[in-house]
Amino acid sequence: MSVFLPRHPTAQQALLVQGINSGASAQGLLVAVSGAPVGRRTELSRQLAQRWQSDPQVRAVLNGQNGSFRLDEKLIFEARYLLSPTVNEESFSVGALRAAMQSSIQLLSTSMGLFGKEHILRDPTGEFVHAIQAMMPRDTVQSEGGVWVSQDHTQLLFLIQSTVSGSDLDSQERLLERIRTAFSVVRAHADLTQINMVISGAATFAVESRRSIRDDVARLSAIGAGLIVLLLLIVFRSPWALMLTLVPMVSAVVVGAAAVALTFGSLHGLTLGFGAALIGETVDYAIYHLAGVAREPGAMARSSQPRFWPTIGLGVVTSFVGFSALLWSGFPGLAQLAVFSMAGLSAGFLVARWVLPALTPMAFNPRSLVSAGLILHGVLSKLRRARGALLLASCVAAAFCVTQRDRLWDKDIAALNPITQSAQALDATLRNAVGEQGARVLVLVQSNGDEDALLEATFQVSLALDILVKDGELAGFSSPTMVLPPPSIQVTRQRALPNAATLTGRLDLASRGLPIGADSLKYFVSDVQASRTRVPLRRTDLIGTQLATQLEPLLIRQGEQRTAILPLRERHESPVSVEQIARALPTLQGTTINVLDLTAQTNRLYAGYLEEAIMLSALGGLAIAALLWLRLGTVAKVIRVSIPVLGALVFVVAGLALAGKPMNLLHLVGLLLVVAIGSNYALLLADYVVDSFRDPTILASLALANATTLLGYGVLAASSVPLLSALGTTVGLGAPLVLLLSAAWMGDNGR
Amino acid sequence: MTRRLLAPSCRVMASATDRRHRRARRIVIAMGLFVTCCAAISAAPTTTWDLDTLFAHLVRKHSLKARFVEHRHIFEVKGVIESSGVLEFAPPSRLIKRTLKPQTETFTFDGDTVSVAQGAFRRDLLIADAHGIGSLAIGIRGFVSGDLKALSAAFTLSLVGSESDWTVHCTPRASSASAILSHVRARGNLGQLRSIAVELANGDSSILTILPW
Repeated sequence: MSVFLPRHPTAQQALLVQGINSGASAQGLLVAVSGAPVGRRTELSRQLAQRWQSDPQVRAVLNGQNGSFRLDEKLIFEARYLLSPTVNEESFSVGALRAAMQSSIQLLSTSMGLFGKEHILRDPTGEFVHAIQAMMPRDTVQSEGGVWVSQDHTQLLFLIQSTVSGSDLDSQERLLERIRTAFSVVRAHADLTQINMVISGAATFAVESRRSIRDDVARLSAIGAGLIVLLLLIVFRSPWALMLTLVPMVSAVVVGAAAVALTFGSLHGLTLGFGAALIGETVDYAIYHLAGVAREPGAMARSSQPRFWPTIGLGVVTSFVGFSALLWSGFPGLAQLAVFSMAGLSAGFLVARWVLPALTPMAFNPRSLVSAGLILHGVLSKLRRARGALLLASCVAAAFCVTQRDRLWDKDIAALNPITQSAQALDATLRNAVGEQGARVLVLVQSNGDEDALLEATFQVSLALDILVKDGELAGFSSPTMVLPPPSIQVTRQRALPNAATLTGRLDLASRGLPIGADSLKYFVSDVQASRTRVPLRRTDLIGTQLATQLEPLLIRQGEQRTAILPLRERHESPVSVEQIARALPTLQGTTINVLDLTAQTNRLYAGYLEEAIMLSALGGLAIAALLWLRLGTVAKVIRVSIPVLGALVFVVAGLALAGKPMNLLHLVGLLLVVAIGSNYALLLADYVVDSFRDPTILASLALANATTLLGYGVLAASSVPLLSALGTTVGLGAPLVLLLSAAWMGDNGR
Repeated sequence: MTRRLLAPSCRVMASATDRRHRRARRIVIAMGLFVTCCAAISAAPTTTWDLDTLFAHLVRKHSLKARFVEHRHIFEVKGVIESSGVLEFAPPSRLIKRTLKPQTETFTFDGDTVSVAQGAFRRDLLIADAHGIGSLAIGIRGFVSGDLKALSAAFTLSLVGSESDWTVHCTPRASSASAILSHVRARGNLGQLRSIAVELANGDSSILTILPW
């Protein structure tokens, strides 16, 4: 996810980043444990919760047990008259006090009452319980034996909230590992080998997708590399040839990675993975070198100056220019890819051109490609006849693309999501069961004043949201003021507290006829008196407590700017819209209130990137055309070289549209790559047909280079990760098409 | 033989001695018989009345369902606080005390977890962490289920009274428990537990009387 976050965010985008990080952090991980026998469920739930809670990066483990929430009960008890929402003048009237005393007597008859007499007599109106309930409004979950269970009562449910940032995938992965280990330990100790655990949540998706991308890249690259190795061995019959092929590629990867590290400071894993695939093109340069050596071994090998190197060089420059367009993208992932490719391709070319000849031994004599080249020349002649038909087909395809232009691109970022449907469905079910819909919509509050002013404004917003909950439009929400009421509210509550004399007088009245007297409640009176003058709780008073960590994702500070974040919990059947919420919120002076739909915003962000990238690529294409014009001299030559490339692009796009596959960002990168690789083919073929010498090895090397590209990228097309398969499909289709079309188009000066 | 050797004047004296001897022998025989009888009587087997025997009667293999009434004295409250409800036990270790009047509460002691639920509020505690309430829980469950082993581990026990009206006095062994709970007293009639009385260190007390269903 972090690779998608913009380099230079606008204010709105900065809010989005904050929201995503906070939302992911507050959302937490959902855990379901199945297979526990009925009699041991409470115990097992408690043990697991305790173990997970002891992890330093776990903020809270919710499993339905109040005790395991680990709130700072002492602090809350002492500040209960400031924290409880039910403290007002009415609750200290004679009538209310009488009712409180009666309920206290009743409570004293219970088992808790016998041993908890002090708490009952100090807090007859029950403000402690009210304060806690205000902080934890989650009571819609199914409960059995005091712990959360799924709707069908077969699974134990947990919600684990961690302090790990949403974008820190490495820490997320380690935390998941620790959770799994703790589960195994508890399972072994309790001797319950039949229990199983499932974890779901944004963090697991992110970690899982990264892992599957890495695995796929590794696996498919290995297969592709293996096939290419096989092919090269068959063609050149020489292991040394293979070694030489690797040199430019390895140097390309190293130089590319170094360039990115220098420019961006860090290299994202994804960039390396995709970039290495891009560098597969450098294999082509090595092939050109080897073909040249095969043609004239011995003396020529050392000082090879084959005539096609300048053309290949031009091809590299056009690729360079093409990718450079992406440097301006606001999307750091694309910019990194561009730098990687540019540096890598250049390095690969230079190494193939200058270093490989030095490395090639004098006696090196790979199999000559001349015979293959002659065969291919024959094929070439035949293809020329199909020129007209191919041109017609390209026009039809182009027309088709134009009619489909609205459906060509997939603007939904979810298309890049490699998480399977079943995993997403599981997550949805668990979230529903726990009543934690995942914060899709957030309300962000920012104030011009200090933290007190911010909390005050947030409190007003919370009141408005409360109304929405009462009306049934929302299932609920979280707010920092639930944990820490603004000082102004605390003071209001303090003012409602009667002084000792008044309170004692009222208690005397209230206790008429009751077996309990005002003197029995003397600690209650002194507690209330102390609360009247207590300094209101502020965030700094909570440092080191559980409440502080609860407050963390809801009250963010970035430099001078403080933001309060209120994640909304939607009702399963009726999702809310941003407008609906915004209408219900008050306008407050000196306060900015934003309602953010995370899904819509990230899609908008992604769509923005896509549009920008398309535009930049088009500009890059024009730059390439200009470059070619400079080098080739006439517009006619430029057109002649460009047509096969454009034709291939049109066929690929039409093919994808026909197959019902809208294109995403990686398709675009693939198309750029087709241009980069294809321009090489087109330029070489153009040279070939005008060249009086008609070196057949050129044809053979082209065919071989194309074959290796097809193998390398075609294998990626088989990946289950949409990003990789997009790249693989585009290049796997596009590169051979360019060669085919170039072959058909070029030959107007046939032999 | 002795008589023929003596003179005729000794015949009277001889018969007096003779009579004394005969009496002594009777006494000796009687005493011997008495002692033998006593020994015989004491050697016959008699049933002793102690904790083991009592708990042999109390041991419960089937579930229990009974009503209870509790009377409580709290220092700050004048008079007695009365509550009532249902007491259930399911072997091997699940005790539920459901208070119904005047305030509903469900107190469960299952395995080694005590849980108390009152309306929406619920608290679960490990017995090791719950000193006062835990001891009481062990006490009640121990007597209801007839688990002498568990009771002896947590309390020092002493039995007074007869089979038809026995009382077991229990003092918690752990200082953490005795700081809160000073005394538990169970009363009953043979295999029938009648009441459990609790005295807290702060002076409050409570008597739980078990009634048939």
